[in-house]
Amino acid sequence: MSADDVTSEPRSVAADIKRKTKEVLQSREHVNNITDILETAQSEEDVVTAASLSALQKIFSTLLGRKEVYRGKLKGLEEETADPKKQYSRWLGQCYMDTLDILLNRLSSHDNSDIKELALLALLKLVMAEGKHPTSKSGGDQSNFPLRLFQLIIDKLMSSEADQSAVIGRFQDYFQYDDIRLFTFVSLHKNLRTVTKEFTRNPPDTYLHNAHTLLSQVQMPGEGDELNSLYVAPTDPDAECRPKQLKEQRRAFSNAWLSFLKNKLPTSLYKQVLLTLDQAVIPHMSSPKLLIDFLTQSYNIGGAISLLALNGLFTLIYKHNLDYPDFFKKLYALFEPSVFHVKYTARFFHLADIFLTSTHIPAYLAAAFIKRLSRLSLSAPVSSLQVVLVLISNLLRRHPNCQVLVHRSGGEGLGSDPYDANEPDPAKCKAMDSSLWEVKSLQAHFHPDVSQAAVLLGKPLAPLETDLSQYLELQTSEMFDKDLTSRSDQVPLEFHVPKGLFGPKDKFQDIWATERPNKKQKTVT
Amino acid sequence: MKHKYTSKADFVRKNKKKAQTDVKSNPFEVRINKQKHTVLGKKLRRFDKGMPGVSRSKAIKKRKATLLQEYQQRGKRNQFVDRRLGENDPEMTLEDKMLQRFAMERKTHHEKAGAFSLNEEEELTHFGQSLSQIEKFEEPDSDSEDDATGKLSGEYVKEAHFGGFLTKKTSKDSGEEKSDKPKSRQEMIEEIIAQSKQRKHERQHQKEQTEDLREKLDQQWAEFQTSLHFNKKSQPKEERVRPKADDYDIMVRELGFEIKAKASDRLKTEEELAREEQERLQKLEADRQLRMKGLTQEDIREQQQNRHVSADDLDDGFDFIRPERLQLAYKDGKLLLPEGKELIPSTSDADDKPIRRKHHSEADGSEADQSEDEDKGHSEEDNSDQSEGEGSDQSEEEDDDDDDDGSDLESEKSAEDVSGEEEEQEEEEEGKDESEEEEEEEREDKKGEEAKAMEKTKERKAIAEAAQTELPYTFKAPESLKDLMELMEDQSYDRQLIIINRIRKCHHPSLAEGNRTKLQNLFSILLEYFGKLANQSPVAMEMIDGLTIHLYELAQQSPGPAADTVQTVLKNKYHKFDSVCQRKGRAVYPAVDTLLLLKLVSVMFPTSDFRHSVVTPAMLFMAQILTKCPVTSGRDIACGLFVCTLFLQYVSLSKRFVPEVINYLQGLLYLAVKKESGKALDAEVVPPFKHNSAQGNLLVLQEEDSSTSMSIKPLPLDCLSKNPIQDTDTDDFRICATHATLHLTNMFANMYQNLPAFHEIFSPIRDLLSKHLLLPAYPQEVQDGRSQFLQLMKGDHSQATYCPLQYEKLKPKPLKLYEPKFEEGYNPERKIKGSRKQKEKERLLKMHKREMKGAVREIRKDTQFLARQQLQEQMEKDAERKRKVKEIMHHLSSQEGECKQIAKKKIKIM
Repeated sequence: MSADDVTSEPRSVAADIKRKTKEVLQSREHVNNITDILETAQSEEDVVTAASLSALQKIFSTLLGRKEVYRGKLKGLEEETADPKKQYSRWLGQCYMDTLDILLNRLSSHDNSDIKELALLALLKLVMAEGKHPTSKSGGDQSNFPLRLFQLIIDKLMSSEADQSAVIGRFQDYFQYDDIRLFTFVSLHKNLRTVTKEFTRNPPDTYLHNAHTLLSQVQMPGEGDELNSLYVAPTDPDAECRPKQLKEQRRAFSNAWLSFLKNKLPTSLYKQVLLTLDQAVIPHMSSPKLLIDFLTQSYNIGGAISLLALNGLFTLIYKHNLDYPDFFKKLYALFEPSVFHVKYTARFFHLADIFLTSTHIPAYLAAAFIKRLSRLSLSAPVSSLQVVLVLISNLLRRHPNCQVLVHRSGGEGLGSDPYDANEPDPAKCKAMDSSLWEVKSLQAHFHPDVSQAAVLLGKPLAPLETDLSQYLELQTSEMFDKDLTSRSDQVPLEFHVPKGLFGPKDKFQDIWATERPNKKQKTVT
Repeated sequence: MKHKYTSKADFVRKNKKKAQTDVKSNPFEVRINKQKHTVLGKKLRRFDKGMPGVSRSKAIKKRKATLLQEYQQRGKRNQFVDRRLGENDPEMTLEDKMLQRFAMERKTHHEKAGAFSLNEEEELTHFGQSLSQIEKFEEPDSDSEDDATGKLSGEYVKEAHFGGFLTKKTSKDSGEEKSDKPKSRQEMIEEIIAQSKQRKHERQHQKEQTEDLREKLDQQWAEFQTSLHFNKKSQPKEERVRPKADDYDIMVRELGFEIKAKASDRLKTEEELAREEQERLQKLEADRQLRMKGLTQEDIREQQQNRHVSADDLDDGFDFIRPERLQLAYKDGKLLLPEGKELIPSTSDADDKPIRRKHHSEADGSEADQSEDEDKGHSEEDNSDQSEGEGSDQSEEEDDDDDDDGSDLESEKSAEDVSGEEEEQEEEEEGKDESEEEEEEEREDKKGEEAKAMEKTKERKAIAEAAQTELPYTFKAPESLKDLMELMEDQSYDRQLIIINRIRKCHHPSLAEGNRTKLQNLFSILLEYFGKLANQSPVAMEMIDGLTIHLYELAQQSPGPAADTVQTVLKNKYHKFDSVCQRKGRAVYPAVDTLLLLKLVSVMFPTSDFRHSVVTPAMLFMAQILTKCPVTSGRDIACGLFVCTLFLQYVSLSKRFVPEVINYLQGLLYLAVKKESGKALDAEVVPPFKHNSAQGNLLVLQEEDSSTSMSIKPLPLDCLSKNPIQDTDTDDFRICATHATLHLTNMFANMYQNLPAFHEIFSPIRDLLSKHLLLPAYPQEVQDGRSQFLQLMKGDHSQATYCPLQYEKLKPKPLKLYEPKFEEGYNPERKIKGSRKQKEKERLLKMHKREMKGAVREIRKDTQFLARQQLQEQMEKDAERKRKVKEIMHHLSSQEGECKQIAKKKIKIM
């Protein structure tokens, strides 16, 4: 009717679209307006696009309600039918398909994230409309959920080009509906499978990030929660359907995660996944043991990743009776000098403390860890030393048998340390025969706090364990500030009167050219 | 009219007395502990006599008045209020009450009845007696006859003193007017005062009268005299002329009155000065040792105080300082006294510093001399102002003399004297900081004088050269660095130092009030200037050295604020550094000013303290530098080496362990190892060094041939700056740096040799040096360094005995000692030690406890009282009931009897 005013003011066009929408909904006479709106939906102007998208959504949710839209296969029905009603509904079906195309297109690739969100919302509205008025074929069971359309939406969300995190954030609100949650997992699983196959386990990072965002945003229901908030109301509200079963939910969740973890993850994402694994994922898995492959693999990568993988492994061992014979051996191997210089030092020691909490660990093992820790402490930076010393003292408390390491009465002097630092097996490193000479050396450490902590180990230990957590996050800057403030009222001063910045008896003399070329003796004038 | 007492207090007192006498009259309420021997004049102790019954009855009476009333009033809404006149006033006697009531009655009666009476006279009464009847007032008793002496009259004394026991019997006979009650003490004293006042007044009056009389007589005499004598004799006295004082007299007088020179202390000889200085240093050193162990003076004092040496104490306990126990020793009939009491450092440090003990026995004489010699040498080294050559020669000569002299006795005597003085001096030093400061000031003044002398010579030259370049002598204290820079503009460094010195002189704290703060401000400005100078590309070391000395001296003047200033500067620098670390995980090496500041800290503050508010943070900073800064260039290596050397300096006395330095040195050596590309060595490295980094070959020599004959030079400070003049990318630099690294490694290895984990600490470096870094192409010195280290490691390893650790032996708990513990100056009255606050708290606590106990007791007694009351009531009720029952039964039985009688009668009738 008025294709010419596309060029005019976007606001007036938007108003026009609204008017047309009303007309379409009022009577069939103005049905042709749909084509106009479809046209305007392709517009460059965001306002116009937004208006037309919402208009299309409104029109089709109503028309779907009136059951006027044909939703069968369009291909086999090329031949004209005489019945104008059928013709009309087929035409509407065609338009609906176009609408969906446009919406999905906007969802997958548009510069403005608002438009993306709008498209998503419109699509979800249409999902609801379709669900309310199901065709006989849609939805496998009683839930009436339009799985086909939903799969399309998820596919578009899992774009491998654009970062969809903003849209996914909007999508998060819908996860409170049990059916949406379930079918998200189902379709995601499907999507992941195809993508994994397509890229041979090495899909682009953006895709993986999108998938991880989606997966990590889902709040899984707990054990006792009731599952009956459905987005698409089923025909029989009391009937048992898939979304209402926790088992189904969990299975879908596990499948989605497992198919996600099959891919090769970039390092940062890997760490993120491992960090959240034991809290967010393992409790909701239908059978957490399926993660074992992933975890062992990640342990073998080494460095920080293996450190983080330990956490998941430990949860599996601890809560799910996983039998993992080499766990402590591998943990032992992780204790190396570089552990103090990685980002996850605090976390590592926190975990190590938890792993070694059990008093059922054999004494030789505990002794091996203690000795290893003390050996490491010789090259550890100041800020970590207190953690190490406290951990050692806690271990000694837990395993009184190990106290021979700090107190062995009547032993004879040895030629060398019996402990073998290069032995990977804690059982064979002869830690029990050794003593903590390292800790003794640390009593002379330059920092008073460390020195005091080491001195404490030289005395019979108090029975209560020291809380490790206060030392875990200790930064050098905190120590610095503390040392600055812990000031007595009197500051001692050096009493040797200097003759300059570098004195003649200085330690600098041999190494640095501190003497001035003209050896004129300065007098204080 | 009613009688009124002068005050209510009087009244109460009177009544009280009455009550007391009443109480005393009941002997059963007083308890007296029987005493075996009664001693005259002995005071009764608190518990020997008591009146439990009295207090009990008092308490019961009180309860009856209060608690019982309440008890009886319980459950009652209204109560009687007694409005009778004086009924609620416990102080009124019955008589008073009756009087008042009577008066009231009369008044009302009068008001009613007298409304219409016209001519009725009111009769005035006193104590109910008509005044008209007691019209005649008796004369008040005045003891006017016995006031002549001004003392108490004999009669009075007789009556009053010793309770009047001398006259008691007689007075009863004679004195009618005396009241039958003895007067109270108060009254007696008042009486005495009044009497003496009166007497005094009378005496005065009499005196005046006699004076008047005498004057009158004099007047009369004068009149009479004029008529007797001639006028001539009375005149010449006025006109006599004084003889003029001649020069001699004046001189004599002057000499007589001249201020005599006061006796002054003799000047101390150089030797004495040196010894004083040395003792001061010794004391400071001892202090330092203590601080190194983390003990404070108070701790030591406490330890000494708490320590109680018993007869069977084996004295094998571990402590740093034991008070020197003096052995009583006599020599030639004289008691030997200790010379300066020293704190003797523990034996573990003995190898570090020679312990200086003064020996008195002749057998040790040679040793003592030796030590003295040593000390002298030492002190002269330290004493910067001492003249160098001559002084030492002299003292040595004197020593020789001492040795040669046969008369040890005398010399010793003098030494003792000196030592006594020194002891005093020490005590003074301990006691007052001020005195120390004064000394310092003196020293400074002395320095100033010397300096002035120098200046004078200089100035002469300057005058000769050009007069216009002369500096002004006074300066305003600069407010900021800008001010200072304005003052110093275009001046040479020497002159700048002179300016600073003059500013300090002008604003010496002893001169004016606010000078101390001005100097503190100057300190921060100079510190700022120090940083600025340090960042200049060729570092002006002369100026920096001069500034260092000034900063040191200023810090000595006011340690606290100086430490604060250094702290803030350090803090700013650190946080700048740390924020980069937090963001990136690594940082670049700080600029030269930071490095030199860290060095300055070691000059100004003792680095060996266990915990020091400036040095400990500085060390943390350095440790952070060594762990967080990756090595990417020659400058980085130089900075790292500098920081390592700093650490060496910091811990050289305390021998503390710094893992960071060892890691760093190891990393540097790793850099010197030639690595094939893409292939990591199996040697360990610790961050900031990495196995595969782009700068992995930073210290590897480029040309291997030409360097063997190179001479090793010390590293120039210049290469610390960001754009050094000399290129650090040369083999020369590499060799020097490697040599420095090896040298440092050796130093540290030597220092840590005694650590039990020495071998473990250095084993990575040993592996590196023995396997990878063979250094064939290096100069001999570098190779020597390597072999030296390896030798040390090898030798040590073979000897090392790893003794198993044992817990530190705790001091065994001492058995109870049979010997009593004596406390000197013990005062049983003042048991509680502690501050006033503590005492006050203790007192309050005690009071609270007592009050609490009292309150509980009161409550308990109240309930007892009430229970008793209830029981009594119950018993009364029971008795009443019993009585009634009896009555009824009686009545019934009589009725029954009557009934039976009637029945009998009826039967009889029937």
